[in-house]
Amino acid sequence: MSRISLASQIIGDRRYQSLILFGLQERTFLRMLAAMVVISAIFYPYPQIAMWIGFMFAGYSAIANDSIQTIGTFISSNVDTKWWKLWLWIGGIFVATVFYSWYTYGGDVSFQRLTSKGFSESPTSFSFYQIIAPVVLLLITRLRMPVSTTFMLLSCFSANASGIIGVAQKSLTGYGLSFVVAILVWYLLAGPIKKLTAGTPHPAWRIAQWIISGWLWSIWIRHDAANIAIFLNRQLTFLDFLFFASFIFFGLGLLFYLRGDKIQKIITEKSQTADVRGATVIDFVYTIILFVFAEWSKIPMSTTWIFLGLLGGRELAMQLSKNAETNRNMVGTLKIVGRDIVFATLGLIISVALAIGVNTNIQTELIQYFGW
Amino acid sequence: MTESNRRVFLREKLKTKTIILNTFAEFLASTIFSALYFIFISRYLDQGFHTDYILLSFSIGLAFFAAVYIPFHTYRIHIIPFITLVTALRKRKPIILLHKIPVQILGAFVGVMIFNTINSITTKINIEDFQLIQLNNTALIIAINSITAAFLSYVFYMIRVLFNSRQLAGTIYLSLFYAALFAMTSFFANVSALNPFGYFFYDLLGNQTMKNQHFLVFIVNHAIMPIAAVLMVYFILIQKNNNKQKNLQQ
Repeated sequence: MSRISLASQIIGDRRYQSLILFGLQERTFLRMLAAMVVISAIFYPYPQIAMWIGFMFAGYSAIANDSIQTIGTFISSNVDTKWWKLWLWIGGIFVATVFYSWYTYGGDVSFQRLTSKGFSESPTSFSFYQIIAPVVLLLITRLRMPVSTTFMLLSCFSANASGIIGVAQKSLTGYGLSFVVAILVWYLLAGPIKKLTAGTPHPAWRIAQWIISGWLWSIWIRHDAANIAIFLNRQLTFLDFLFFASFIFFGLGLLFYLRGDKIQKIITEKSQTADVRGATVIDFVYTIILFVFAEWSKIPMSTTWIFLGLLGGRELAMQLSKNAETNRNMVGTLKIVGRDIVFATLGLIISVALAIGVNTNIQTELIQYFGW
Repeated sequence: MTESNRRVFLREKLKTKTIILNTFAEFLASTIFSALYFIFISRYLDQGFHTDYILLSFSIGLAFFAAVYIPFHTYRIHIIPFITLVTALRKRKPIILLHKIPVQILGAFVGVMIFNTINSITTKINIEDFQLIQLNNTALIIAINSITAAFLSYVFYMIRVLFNSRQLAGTIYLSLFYAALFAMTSFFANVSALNPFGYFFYDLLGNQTMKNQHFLVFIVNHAIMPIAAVLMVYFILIQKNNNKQKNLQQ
């Protein structure tokens, strides 16, 4: 009797084999996600438990995926430094930054990002999809699609469509601006940067990198703490804060011990990120852009899009400039930039679809808008 | 110790380790499944959750998938004793029954305890109310229960052996089939073949899904007839297939 594989008949043998390989390679991760879905299914109706479960999932997602935008270059250019030194520096800055926000803004750890329109009310009940949104995010990013956590999580909680539109507008502006800034910096300053990065790096570079990475990290927290805190009450008690800060602090410890999760590969595939000087310049430009947007308005935005714009513009400028060295040709560069844009847009579409599915306010607004 | 003795010793050690891991995984799976099975039904019965029957069936299939996938990722996990029975017969290894069935019982007990705790705090639902079609014909109920058990065991065999889907794909097919089977049969109230030990402990712990049944009818309905149906499926269909396969190989 011949043996048939039904799935390979349906989707084609090659796709089936890739799927099997992915399932086997990532089986521990996938089992963890399945466990997360089960936990969500059991606890989502109980808001007091669900908020902390949602927070932990979002926290894990922030640590494993998003934080790589900021500390990824720090990890890849400090491979020879002990993991716990890196952890204490980055973890210490995290605790200090969120404590400042919690203390200054009366228990709010999001730097008032969640006081903006559509996000100001603490959630009083949760739907199943809201709790599993970070799980979906983890799955998509494991497929190496750089999805915006801000879109994915905040859009599920927005009280109205204008909240999401505000976030999307600010994020798109961020992408465009960082793309242009990156092209200008790496094209016009390619010569000086090349001279600066020639030969063995001076020890002062290491100090500069630690300071700039720390600064970048704290500004990034100003933007993205909202993504984790969205599940919690807008004013945290001291005990709430203690759990919030400890969870992320020890999670960061694990991240540094493992030297970044799988998503770290996205950073290492880009040109010159392992060199302390190249990494410092990227971090510095990224910090300035994030700083400008943090001061500009309190509307949350996708730092992922800024980061993608920055890396895309930088890769393109390095390709165009005669002074810069890159390890791929123009077609390869355009492919990388295009792929990131396509995946980020795909992530946006999935996020909006999820938001529409979850959010009854947005459903009502859509029905009214289209006159159904 | 000679080299060959050492190899035998290591092989035996590995075998024991695999059996222990399998047993633990079966317990975990049985716990997850029994708890989720009743949690989803109770939410369906609770008006506050707005769950429809299709979503409930899908959720039950998902519960089966999660219970199989989380502890071991392949479906060496059986959860349902009728599947274990068919596997033991097909492999001619009665030992499988010995290390699977007791932990399935234990897992179902823990699962039902978890459900009872959650239910008593929140939904406060009696699963007996999950009776969409009132069937009073005992013979018909027994027939439905037995056919369900037989059908489940046979499809497990089909997916496992005929389609050769051992890994993730097989687990997905089986879960989809389980969801469909639940959707088809659960109209007739508490078809115990889909979660035998779960229903057993649900009753034993005082919730009484089958309180009006005579003890003998109870045993015939939930144990004797489903087992007989599974045995029939094995001896009539599965063994025939096995023999055909052997003849083809020769």
